[in-house]
Amino acid sequence: MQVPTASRITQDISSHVANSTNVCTGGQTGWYRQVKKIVTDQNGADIVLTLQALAETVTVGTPNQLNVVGVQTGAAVTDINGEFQDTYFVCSSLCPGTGLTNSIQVITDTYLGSGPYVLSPNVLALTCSNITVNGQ
Amino acid sequence: MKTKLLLFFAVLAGYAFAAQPGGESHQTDADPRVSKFAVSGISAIQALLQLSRAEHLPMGIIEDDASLCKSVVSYSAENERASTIITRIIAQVPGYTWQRVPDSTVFHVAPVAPRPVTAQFLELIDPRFGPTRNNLQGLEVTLWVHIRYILYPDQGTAGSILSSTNARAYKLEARDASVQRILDSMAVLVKGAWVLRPLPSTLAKLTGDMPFSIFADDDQGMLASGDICAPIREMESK
Repeated sequence: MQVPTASRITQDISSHVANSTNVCTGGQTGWYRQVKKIVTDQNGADIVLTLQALAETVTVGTPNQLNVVGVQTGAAVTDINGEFQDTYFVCSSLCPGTGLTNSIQVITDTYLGSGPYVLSPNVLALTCSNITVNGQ
Repeated sequence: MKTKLLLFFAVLAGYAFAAQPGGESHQTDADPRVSKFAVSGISAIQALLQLSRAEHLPMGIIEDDASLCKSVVSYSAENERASTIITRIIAQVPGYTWQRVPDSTVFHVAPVAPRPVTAQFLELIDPRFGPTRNNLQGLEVTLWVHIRYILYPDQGTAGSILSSTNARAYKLEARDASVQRILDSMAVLVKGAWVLRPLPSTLAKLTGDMPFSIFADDDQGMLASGDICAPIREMESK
């Protein structure tokens, strides 16, 4: 039996400056990255299963040089390929700059009443010119 | 009090905005006739959301206190106008009324006398929203990022927005529009309802929690909405 254990990026959709044409305001800039992901099991294999309900929490860690206070989150349902999207962004008045804000993302997976399974945390590194997930 | 409310809505109606659902026309019957509607022993807010969802009715619901959540309503109707159904539901909620802004298809449910902080929040002006194309969650978050910048320009905002790969995308652009006007335009786009949770007494120290949610028939808003009855907290002083 496959046990939801972690998630991995399957595809980079876009990665670019965040500004008023996507999410930030005219007074702030930052970075924007959209990826496609899939839940993996205890052996690292993809779980190709639709209708998995995913929720998340994100906690700001240290350093927090971009003075991030609010972290917005979402929810998703996997498609027939077991995939879902994750859109990361950071907007800060300290961008452009060299600041770094680390945060921890924890995704929970529920499938037809089974779970919730708490997936392995993802380490998010947010800067004005890049966003990485577990270094990727 | 009624005059104050009318003035409140009238002021908000004055801002220009443009919303396009990917180029589609959204001309609908502004007050559709509902063939059948029935609720029994549920909260007023759930009844309103059920009506909005079933009839694809653009709606804005302002929770200024717990009344909409604590008032348990029952009502059934056949072949009635949506406005009549809303009237009957709201009649069971002390201190609340509904209104339509002229030239808008959005039904607004609000306290008869909104608290100043609620009016202040909804009247905040976003100088520039978009043009952007995003799913519903993305549009909501974008508005909240903009509001946070207006209120707290020194604070940064980050996001990790999970969404379904097939979530519908909507195009939205607004200039010098109030928060309420932008929320209305989103409700029209998705044919759903926005809900503003009860705010604290001032806007000085809101947490990062988004104080509004939008509910649409594609379930995206419902997935991410959390507890729509919980008051918005303030950040604790250090």
